[in-house]
Order: sequence, then structure tokens, then C-alpha cells
Amino acid sequence: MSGNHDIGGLQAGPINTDEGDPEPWQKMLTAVYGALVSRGHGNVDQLRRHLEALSKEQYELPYYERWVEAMCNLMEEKGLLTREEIANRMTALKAEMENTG
Amino acid sequence: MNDASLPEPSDPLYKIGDIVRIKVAHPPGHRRTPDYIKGKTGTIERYCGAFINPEERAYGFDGIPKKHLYRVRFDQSQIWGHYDGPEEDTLDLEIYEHWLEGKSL
Amino acid sequence: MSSNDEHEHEHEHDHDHGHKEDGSPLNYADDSRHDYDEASHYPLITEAIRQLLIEKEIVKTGDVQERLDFMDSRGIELGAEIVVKAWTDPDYKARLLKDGTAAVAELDIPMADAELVVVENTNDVHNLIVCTLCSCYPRTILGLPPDWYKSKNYRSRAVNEPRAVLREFGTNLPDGVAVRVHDSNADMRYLVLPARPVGSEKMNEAELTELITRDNLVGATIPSLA
Repeated sequence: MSGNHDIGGLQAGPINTDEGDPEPWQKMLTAVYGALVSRGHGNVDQLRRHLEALSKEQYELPYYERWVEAMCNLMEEKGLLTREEIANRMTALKAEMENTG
Repeated sequence: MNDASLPEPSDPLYKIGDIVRIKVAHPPGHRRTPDYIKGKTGTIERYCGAFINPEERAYGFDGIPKKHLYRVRFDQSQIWGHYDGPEEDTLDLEIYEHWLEGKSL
Repeated sequence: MSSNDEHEHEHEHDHDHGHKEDGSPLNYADDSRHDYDEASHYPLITEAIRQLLIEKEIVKTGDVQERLDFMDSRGIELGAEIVVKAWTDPDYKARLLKDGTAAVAELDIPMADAELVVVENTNDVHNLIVCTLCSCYPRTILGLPPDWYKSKNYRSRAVNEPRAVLREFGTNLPDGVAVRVHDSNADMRYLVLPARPVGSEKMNEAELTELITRDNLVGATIPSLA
């Protein structure tokens, strides 16, 4: 296998054919990524490269979760956002939710 | 990506019906040729056009010169060791020209 | 490692491809959705990213909204429009099969950076679409792909076990129909043009539209009158 993503033809389990609407955060992720690309910060090939470079453990994550990880790595590579900045903001958001919750 | 204003590479090497084999190569990094098809032999189903090279674009290069892309058709029974289906079942993939080797009949 | 030394692992391991050393199949994590609340890690990180990118003016709120609106605008409507036109206009169908991108452009449907290939189900061939490497999909026509299309199980098995996969969707093909799988692995995007159901000959366009589902256009299922 060239990479964790190169999975055509491997044995795998049954397919969950349930229709599910995407969750709001999944749609938002898609929109934010699209906005980033439209502003010239990366393209689909670069995102795919980052997806393919995820660790074996990270590639076990479901689809949109992998996308988040790859996007974070892409944005850090491009000097747009660091993981630290993102983590700090998450801490602040969580505190806000706990205060108003 | 297919921007018609960019310079074209030289003429396509293959035409519909040509028998081709997918290179067995294991380069690092971003490629669009899956492992399962490497070393397999198929037939050119159609020429798709010339596209900006994603293998380069993935790293921030402009991906020029464009690369010729083809759809190649394979017999499923030739790809998999124990394919469960009739001989007529096929699998079509898109393969860039530099991954192809012409095979004489 | 020189290329002279290279021998074809693929032939040697054909029968073992896809197994661990002990012979058991690879076990993928569940790709189905989880019930997240806003404070869970991934929704939270997404919101953090959104806020930061906007505050730093790397993207604008309008850019993001435009994309949300676009997603909301894409359901089965455009795909069904294309199919019904092909079913009722043989010249259009011929153009569609020859050059999908140009034919959908006639209906003001853009393809963005990819090219569209439309493949026709007939009495002899049933088509199934997959992207084994990621999840390429004709998003400008059909919107977001369903979870199953993006799942690792589908990506792995659609190419080497398409008939078993089809059965999981309840699709059992008659004898004599070949299965043709398309791995959407580069710059093409695919739509399956389903066969017009027998018995629909007298239906009008609105009635025909009702017959068509998104799964038909990926090739997982076949439209019927039932």
C-alpha cells in the first residue's frame, strides 16, 4: 500500500447505506475549506496530499474528522493558523459555552 | 484542473483501443494511480484531455506542463485473484500518460 | 532501490492483497456518523477555525455563506433534470454520452475544475461509481456525497466486489448484465444515466423526475416504478 488512503481492493466490512444529513459542523467545514481555496490558500491537490500524509491512527478517523486534521496541517504549512492558536480559541469557546450553559 | 489557456504538451501517445500496461512504480508522495492497478494491462477507452499535473500541484508547483489523461478499461478477472463475477465485468480508471507503457500485441 | 531489482509484488501477492499477515481482513474504524454536540472536539475545532480565519481576514463571512448556500441548493433536482432530458430527447442523450461537460453546460450546469463523463446503463451493462483514493464526486451537480460513498468500506470493495456491494443496496442484476466500475481517481467526475424504467413510456417529465434518486446516479440502485 502506497499510503493509508490507497485502499481500493482491500477486504472491508459491510456498507452502512443509511442516508444521513450532514451535521452542521460538517457543512461548515466544507464551506470554510471552500472559502480558503477560493481565496487562493491551497487547492484540492494540496489537501489530498495532507490527507494522505495523516498517520495510520488519524486515517482511522471518519471522513470529516480526517479533513479537519488535514486542513489544520495545510493551514499551518501555509503560515495561516497554528495548532496552538486553534487550541487556544477552542479553550476560550468552551469556557464561553460553560458560562452561558 | 483544465485551464484551456495554458500551453498543451506534445501530442497524446495513445489512441482508443491501444493496449497499455500500468507502470509498477512506487514514488513517494501524492499520486493518482492506485496500487491495485499497477502492473495490470488494459485498453485505452478514451482520451480525456490534458490536465495540470496534480502530482506537482499538490506541493505548490504550477503543474505545467499539463499531462495527458486517459480512461483505461480492464477486465476484472485480470485484476483480482478471485474475482466473483462474469468475464464481461470491467473496471475503468483514469491514468496519466507517464504511468502507461505501450504493450505490443 | 534500483528499478532493475524491482519485481512485481502485485502478481505475487494477488491472492493475498488486502489481508494482514495472519490472514484476517483489515478492520476499519466505523465510518458512520457520531452524535456530536457543539462542545465536542470536532465541532469546536471547526468553529475555532472559522472564527480565526474570518478575524484574520483570510476568508470573508460572505465566502463561507456562499458555499453554505451552494450546498443547500444542490439536491437531486439537477441530476434528475439531466436524466429526464436524456430519456426524452435522444439527440441530447447522444451529446451527453459524448461530452458530459458540454451537454450539462447547455442546461447552465457548471462543472468547475473537473470534466463530466456520463455512463449509460443498458441491457448489457450496469455502471457503478467510486473514488477509491478519496471521494471525488460530481458535487456541482449532486451536492455533497452520502456518507456511504465516502466510507472506507465502499471505497475498498466497490472495485473488487461490486456485485456484493450492489446486493447490499438491494440491487440484484439480471443475468447477462455486466458490471462496469469507474474509479473516479483523477480529473473526471461521473454520472450514471440509468435505463428508463419499463412501463414509464407514457409518463410526463414531472412523473419521470419522481422516479429518479441520487443513488441511481451513482449506480448503487436502479430506478423502478414501484
